[in-house]
Amino acid sequence: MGSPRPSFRDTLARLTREDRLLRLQKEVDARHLSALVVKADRPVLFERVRGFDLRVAGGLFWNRQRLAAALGWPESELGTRFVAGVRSMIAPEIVMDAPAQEVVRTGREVDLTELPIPLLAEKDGGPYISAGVVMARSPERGLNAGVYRLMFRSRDETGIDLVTVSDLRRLYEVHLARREPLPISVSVGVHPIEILSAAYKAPPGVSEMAVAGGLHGAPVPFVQCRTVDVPAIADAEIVLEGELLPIGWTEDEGPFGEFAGMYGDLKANPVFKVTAITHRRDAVFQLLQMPWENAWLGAAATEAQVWNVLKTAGVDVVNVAVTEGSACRWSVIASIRKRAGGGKNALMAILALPDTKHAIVVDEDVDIHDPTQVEWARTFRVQADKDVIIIAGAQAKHVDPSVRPWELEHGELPMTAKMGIDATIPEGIAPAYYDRIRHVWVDDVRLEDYQ
Amino acid sequence: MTADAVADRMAALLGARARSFYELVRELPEVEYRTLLQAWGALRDRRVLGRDEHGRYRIRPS
Repeated sequence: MGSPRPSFRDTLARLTREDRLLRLQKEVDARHLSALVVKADRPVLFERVRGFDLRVAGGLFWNRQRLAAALGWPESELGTRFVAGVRSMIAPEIVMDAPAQEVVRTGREVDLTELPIPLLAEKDGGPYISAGVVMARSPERGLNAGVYRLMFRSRDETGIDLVTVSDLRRLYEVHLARREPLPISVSVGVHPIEILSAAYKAPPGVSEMAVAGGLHGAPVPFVQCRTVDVPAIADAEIVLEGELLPIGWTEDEGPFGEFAGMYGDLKANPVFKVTAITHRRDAVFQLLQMPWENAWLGAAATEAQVWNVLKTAGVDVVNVAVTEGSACRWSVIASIRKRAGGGKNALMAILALPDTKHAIVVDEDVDIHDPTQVEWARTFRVQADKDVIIIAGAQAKHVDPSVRPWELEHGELPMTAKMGIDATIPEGIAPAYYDRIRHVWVDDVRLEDYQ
Repeated sequence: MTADAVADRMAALLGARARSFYELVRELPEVEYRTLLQAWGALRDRRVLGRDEHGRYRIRPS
């Protein structure tokens, strides 16, 4: 008996029914997967990839509309739905029926070249598995899940990027100190809610897959891996089992076209040794296309953070949106019901978040998903000497070239200047000055009657 | 063409000058993608690959 919540292929089936998925029947060269995903105006399912038995799906999260469609959520509710999921977590449950183990290859049968692992960007260090939910078990913190890129190295090895601080990195450091490998599973082709939750940096002790359960309203089904003591998502399309070798940060990995739309450097990283590949009989390999698919995966969690911080600050929030050009993280727009001084308060709250670099706050009459309306408010409700806040010397990330990370001494952390724009109607100006023009008889006339 | 033969061609190309993986693959348009993956794995297993300052692959001087 299957899980009561939908799987990855259920999502593909629904998108097909809704005419939101481009299904390509013609055989395609795996070299061209990345380019075709970028050129398509909707997510793509490649039914036949030359030289491979697996199908490939990509581009499901390329923009806000596609992400919302894949999740089955309204576009405007990414943040609020995510908040609700975090508040109503449901623990995963182990099941016996695991489609992800319909085919099992272990030992010398392990061969990553059976997967159509695509080359995504011109300067990438190799083909990458980009849509894997990596799970590892911590004795103290329970099961950890995250999304990590895996660079193809050989038939049973990949690189894994563990440079950035993360729960998985901490766990690996503990095992490395004992010179023990760290067992992990990698589930590829899981429901969008599960990869979205895995991309969320949950607080210590909070299971990302329990968050996913809360968002589904049903537990995520787990199956015990065949060769390592870690679970995997039972109805994933493909599961890689194996160990992070206790060799530390010694092997070349990258460069990689990252979520911010620029290349990350060549790095030294650990190696993932694959001990088993299991998959469905007619598995679909998911391709997560950089940069926007990865960026949008973080959007719901970022918007949830902004909702939370604004509510904590006592701001009457109407809506929150991250912007794509900021990798769905660095720039935030919020609309509020303003009390006197509320625009500035809201800005201070949003800019206190570690990742937010720019914020714009507008009144509730402005549609924050319409760039023209936001620009209108920024143009006609802002005086730069009164309504722009600049905070120097705040926490930053290396990935932003404008912080000049190459000038930093070893171990020195980057800093940035943050900017907030209060584009709400200034105190002392009557709202009537901002009355929008409204065309005559628009509710009475139908263009269709004249066509 | 076998994976080992493609790996030899890759080694020759990288011995001539440093290339990104993409530049390398573009030099081998007639090779099936899966064979490219197999060849790349075989070449890596030879432990002869190095990188230049841009992250491009080259054959390490022996």
